[in-house]
Amino acid sequence: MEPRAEVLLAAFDSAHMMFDAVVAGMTATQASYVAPGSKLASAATIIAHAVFSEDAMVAEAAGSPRTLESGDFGPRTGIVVPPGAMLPAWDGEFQFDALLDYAAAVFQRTTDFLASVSASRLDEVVASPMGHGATVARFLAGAGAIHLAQHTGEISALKGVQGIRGLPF
Amino acid sequence: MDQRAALLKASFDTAQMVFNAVVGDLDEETAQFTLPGGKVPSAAAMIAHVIYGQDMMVAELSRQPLVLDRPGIRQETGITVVSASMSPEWLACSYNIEGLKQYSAAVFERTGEYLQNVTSAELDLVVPTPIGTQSSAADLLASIGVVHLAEHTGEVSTLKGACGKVGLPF
Repeated sequence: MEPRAEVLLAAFDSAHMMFDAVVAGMTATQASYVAPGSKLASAATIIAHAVFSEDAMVAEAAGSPRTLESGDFGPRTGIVVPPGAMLPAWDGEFQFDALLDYAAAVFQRTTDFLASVSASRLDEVVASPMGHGATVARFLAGAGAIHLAQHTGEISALKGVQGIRGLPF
Repeated sequence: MDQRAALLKASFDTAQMVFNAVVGDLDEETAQFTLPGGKVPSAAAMIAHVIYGQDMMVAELSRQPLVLDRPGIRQETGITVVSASMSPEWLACSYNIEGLKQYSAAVFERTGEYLQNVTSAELDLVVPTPIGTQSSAADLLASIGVVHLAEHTGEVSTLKGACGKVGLPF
């Protein structure tokens, strides 16, 4: 495996493992909870955003379509990408169990991509979410696993707000 | 510079930038806030935990003393226990948010310097991880270093949101 891909995969593996640990045992009711008077989104909204972002990033890095548009993940999860838009509207109704299926598919695709990516592909320049170009390696290092991990932390604390244990440490 | 070190530095730079964005305007009251009936530690306890964790990891890999053991830092931060695990003793410490912000800046600076100078051979060294497994130093920094900081930044962000403030800037 390309040495940089190994480092990226270590970060994604860790972020995926933590995400799975935090959402394990979570119910749809807990996932749709919005704390009164707070500025917090529901866990379901955060999950939809974080997983879609990884899907979009890895699709960009791989130069292939998003997992969302493969099969029926769009209608099943409730994630709707408006025509012509890069990002979905996040005020929809999300289906929690389908979001977890979508996450599993996206995580598997990320792993498969990093296990086989070439050095030359990692050095290619793609558009980053901040609007400037970055190599595939820098793009995934700066915005990939970190983004998922930050939102996993948010979900963990949202569980804690409801009196449920979040992160296992 | 080793290509993996450059990637790790880019990752830490992003995670630290977001941490600073979330923690920058955190005041003492919000940092000490704990939800009645909740199972979330205060933001101050989490910040102390995650920065101490990064300090320990980089100190061990670079074979240097802890930033925490520099003169005055334990007193300024309120970190008086030895282990960084979220034990009852850890949660009972009286943390000072301004001291923790200064401590984080020093730990982030030392992390940057370490990654700027680390050799390929040092990144290939197999080292024990906090969960009892073995890993290369490079993979440890990626899997537990960067991801750990990002996760706890997200938790602090939610605690700010629970107080009616803006957490993550995205």
